[in-house]
Amino acid sequence: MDKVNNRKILVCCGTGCLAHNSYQVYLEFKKKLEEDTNIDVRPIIKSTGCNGLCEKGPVVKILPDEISYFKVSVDDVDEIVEKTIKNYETVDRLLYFDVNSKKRIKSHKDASFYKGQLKIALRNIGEIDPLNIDDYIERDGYKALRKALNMSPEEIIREVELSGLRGRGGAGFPTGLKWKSCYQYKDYPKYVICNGDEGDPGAFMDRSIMEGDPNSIIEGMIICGYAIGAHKGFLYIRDEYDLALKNVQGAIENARERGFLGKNILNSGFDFDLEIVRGGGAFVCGESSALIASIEGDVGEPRAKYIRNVEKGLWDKPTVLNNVETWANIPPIIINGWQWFRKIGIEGNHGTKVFSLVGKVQNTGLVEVPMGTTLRELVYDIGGGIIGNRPFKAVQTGGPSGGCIPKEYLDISLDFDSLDQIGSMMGSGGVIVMDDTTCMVDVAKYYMDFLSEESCGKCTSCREGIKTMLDILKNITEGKGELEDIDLLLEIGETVRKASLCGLGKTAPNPVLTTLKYFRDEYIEHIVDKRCAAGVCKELTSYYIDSSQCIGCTICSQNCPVGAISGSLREPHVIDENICIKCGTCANKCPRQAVKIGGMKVEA
Amino acid sequence: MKLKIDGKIYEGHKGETLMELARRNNIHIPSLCYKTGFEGLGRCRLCMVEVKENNRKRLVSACVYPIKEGIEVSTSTEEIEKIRKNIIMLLLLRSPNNEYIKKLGEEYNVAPPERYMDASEVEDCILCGLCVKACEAMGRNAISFVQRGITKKVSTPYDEPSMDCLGCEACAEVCPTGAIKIEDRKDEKLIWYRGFGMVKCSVCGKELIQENILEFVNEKLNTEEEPICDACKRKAVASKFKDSFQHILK
Amino acid sequence: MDHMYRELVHKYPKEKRYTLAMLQDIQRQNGFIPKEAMEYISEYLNLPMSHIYHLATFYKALSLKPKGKYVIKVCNGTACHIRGADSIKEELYNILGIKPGETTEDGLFSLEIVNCLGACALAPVIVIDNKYYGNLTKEELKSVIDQYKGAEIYG
Repeated sequence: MDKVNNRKILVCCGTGCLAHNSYQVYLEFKKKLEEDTNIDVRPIIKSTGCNGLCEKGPVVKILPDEISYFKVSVDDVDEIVEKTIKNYETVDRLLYFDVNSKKRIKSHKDASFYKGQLKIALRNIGEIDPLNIDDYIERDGYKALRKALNMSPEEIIREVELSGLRGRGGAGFPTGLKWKSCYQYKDYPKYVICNGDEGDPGAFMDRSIMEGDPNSIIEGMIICGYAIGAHKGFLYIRDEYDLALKNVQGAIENARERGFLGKNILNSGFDFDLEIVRGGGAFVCGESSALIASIEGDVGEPRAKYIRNVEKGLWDKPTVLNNVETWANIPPIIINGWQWFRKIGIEGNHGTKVFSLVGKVQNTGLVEVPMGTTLRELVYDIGGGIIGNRPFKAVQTGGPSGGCIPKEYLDISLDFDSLDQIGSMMGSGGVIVMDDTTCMVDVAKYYMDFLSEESCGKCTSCREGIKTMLDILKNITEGKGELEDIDLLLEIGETVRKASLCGLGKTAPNPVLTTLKYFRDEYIEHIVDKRCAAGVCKELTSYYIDSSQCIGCTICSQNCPVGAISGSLREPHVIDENICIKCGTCANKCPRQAVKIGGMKVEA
Repeated sequence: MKLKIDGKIYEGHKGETLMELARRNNIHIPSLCYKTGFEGLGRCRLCMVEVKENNRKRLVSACVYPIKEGIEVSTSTEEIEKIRKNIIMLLLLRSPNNEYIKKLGEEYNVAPPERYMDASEVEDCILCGLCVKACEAMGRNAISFVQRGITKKVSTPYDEPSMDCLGCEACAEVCPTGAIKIEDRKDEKLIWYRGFGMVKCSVCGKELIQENILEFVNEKLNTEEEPICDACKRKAVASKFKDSFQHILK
Repeated sequence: MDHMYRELVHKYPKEKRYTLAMLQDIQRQNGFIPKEAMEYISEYLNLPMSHIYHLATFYKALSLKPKGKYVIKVCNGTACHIRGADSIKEELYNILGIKPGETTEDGLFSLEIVNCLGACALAPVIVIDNKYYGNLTKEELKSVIDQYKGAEIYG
């Protein structure tokens, strides 16, 4: 009977599912259940944060049945209520179809996407309504705070230090050490900051936590405030994240109502409160000194960090600044103790990491795995491999500060140190999967283009260096490259790396340097052969049909948007290069892969 | 506190930057954005030096690095020279026709790649920010940086004549590349899109000073002086002196 | 003119750190930051006009020019880029005749390229009026635009 009383329908309302009308699905459930009088116990319906498997949304979970439905539309609600809610039967066609085992799976927990995962930072997401603080409390919410308020600051800091937690925003700095340093400066007032300016294109871990479990961040920050002696905290949230801003604000208000924020928290005598600062649309504000400048009312121009933030940060006072995911890890560490956390992961890289697995991979979404998981496990076991079974080419990790990892390193351990060693960087956790239709030179150009607008422009090396490297890459991708360009890229890249003032500038050359390191042949093909084998750089791409492989099925000519292909049924077809707009449709549609990519058209 | 620069020991005090100490002791560290009297800006990146601290070596920008006891500084290594040359090369690509940058290029023997040089480029500003600081020091804040990234520039709001501008020319004075143009026209000077009427010497008629600077000074000092040029002032004082001298002689 | 911004600006204490928040509120209400609004903030906070202008041109959330009624934001995140954001841009040019940063003559649509929206699983993503559209084909894209055009005519 308990089973029936605790019945819940969880409809994911994270940004991804919302885009597919999940909110209408949620409303439809509400309506149907209100109208229908034939249900003994009213299940509780909740709109939750992101479940991670956004591509297969809207996601609906039924508890405690442990049934997960995917791609649920408004029209499916009736059937779900009739079959599953009333009769405890599954609607098979909505169940998850596992690519690896080729079977339909009842509970998402058994899907290969979720099986390899260990959720710490994402522990509550998809299971609670982020604006309902009781949901959070039911799942050990604010238990860590209660425990911490009965510990001494030194004890708390010791727990965090011994756990081995390292910053999850990208730099991987030991969190406990950061807190300890700040604690030692007796200069007040002190501040605690959450870096919610997730700017790496392709990364949405922080968005998911801010939208789906904001209390986990709040609780972490209060505990830190108590440990270092700060009474005020700021959450700097990216301007583009409307839902995150709304949900964090709601959670703060709820927390205040319950006495977890404000004066004399839980009768401890400790005061602490939080304020949200909305970003202005600047990637550089993810850099800590630029973020602080932005809070102070200035533009997001970084400052040289010869004096660390823990000594002089916000308004020149001792400040602890940590990333969203780092904060979300604090409550479980306090509740379960440092030994529990330290056992997860590998030496020097403890705990889990949330990755956003996106790009040309089957299962795109958020994945949390223990550090030490290999790239192969992430992409193939959890990610289900490359879409269309195309060959793996590389992954990009660390966003514009990171590097590409080629297939030789598929068995590399995903952790801070291993990735640093091969010239990439874990960064915030974005993992962008690329196949043979991705051009690595184009990827390098893309990142330089991004950085040319996002650089604050303060220092010569970053600003002029990025501009020049971008000009060089444009030349290469347009068929005007020369071999000396490769040496120029390396030369300038090194100077940008060494002379730039902040992390953005220092790591800006990484995408270029790593693609040059592992895909130099591709650069040379662009420069010498004037050919882009991936078919991305339009000036260096031409399509032609291999007559020995063409079966004359006419699929290509039927689909050509400009009528550039001619040929009769069962006769080899020909592409007129003068009409061809290089959209690549014919190559995609050809059942025999007879359409080939040539290089730049050479004028006769 | 004591520290070593290029093998020699120097004395400095807490809060000083490496650049300040270097300048005091006539040690040459190149820079475009540093000017005595202003705090270090860290923008041009020419002042990178190597610092050895606790057996760890790293590159820092001298103009913002606060000195510490016992550090060992090298102002020129192979690595540093390479960086300086490349920074100058990047500046030459930006401002190929600027005299000051060209001179630096010759001094450091820098030859930028021809294919990326645009001979028609007339950009002079290297975004060092000294002009903005000077305007701030004058209490006017008429100009600021605008935009960011590769389109960053210095200007007045909306590129329009600013009522905060005094026409005092402090910005042009501190600019290391002569990028701020002051145009002399009949009876006025054109600075930052704004024409400033010039006041003439009430005695000899020579162009003296911008109208509103005179206004500003008179307001601040609560005076209402006649505008007279230095030469005429000297003559006036001298003739007064001559008169009273003769009076004494009598 | 002043009274239009009074309320928005006076919501905040007279401290430098609220400048960005004031500008964003005005951006949200107006669709852009008028010069008079900047002058008002400059007076209220006793900060130089040049500083306000610097902020308004540095932060991409703020714009100095009025935008169209519907702002189409094409995500340029890496996942979207490799999944064809460029062809979306091209197609929008074919349909509406505008390039990024431009507005259609009838003032209905503006096109912007924006940084990663964090909806990478739906790549390539566009957002119109806070509604997210993922993985659209050319036909679907045209039909979405037509919906907005239709809403204008038929209400």
